Amino acid sequence: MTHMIVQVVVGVLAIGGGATVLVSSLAMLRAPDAVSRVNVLSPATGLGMPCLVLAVWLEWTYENGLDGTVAAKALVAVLAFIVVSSVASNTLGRAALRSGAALDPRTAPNDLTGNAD
Amino acid sequence: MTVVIWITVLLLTVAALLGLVQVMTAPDDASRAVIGDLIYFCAVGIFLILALRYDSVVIFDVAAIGGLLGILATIALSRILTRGRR
Repeated sequence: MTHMIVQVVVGVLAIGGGATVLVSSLAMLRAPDAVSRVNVLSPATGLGMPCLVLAVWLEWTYENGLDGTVAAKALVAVLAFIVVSSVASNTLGRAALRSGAALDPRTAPNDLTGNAD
Repeated sequence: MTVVIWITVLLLTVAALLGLVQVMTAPDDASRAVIGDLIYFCAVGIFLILALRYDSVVIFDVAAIGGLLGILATIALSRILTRGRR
């Protein structure tokens, strides 16, 4: 019984995480400009990758038993994917705007390009 | 469990291939930098789930270091995009 529950939870987390990354990739095809592409990457890094790490950790722990070091590494990985990739997205979005990439005219608020109202 | 692993690998591979197609069709360099990020995370995900299949001992080291240092490539590309200005 426990075996089946673990299998289902791991399956949902792993396939859900992979599907989130795939949906981000599909959304990137439809995004109108570079800043929107930076924006649609966030679900992949903030939701998909933590789900994958969680699935891998659950399956590993079920097979090999609970290990404090491994649990700490998995926790660091989850936090890193959420926090670090958000900072990276912010920096890249700012750089995309500064480098003069074409911007959707409906973007608002827009203080960086200097024509804010 | 094997089925779950291969379905996830398939999903991530399709995501990475779609990213590669977009590298060709992207209108500007900033978009290509973002797509590089996407492919990086796909690669980390494929490694994680395959390492589970083949009983690797470095699964969580790769996850933690990949998450923490993935920012370096992005920051470097940002600086290149703005020609060194902040």
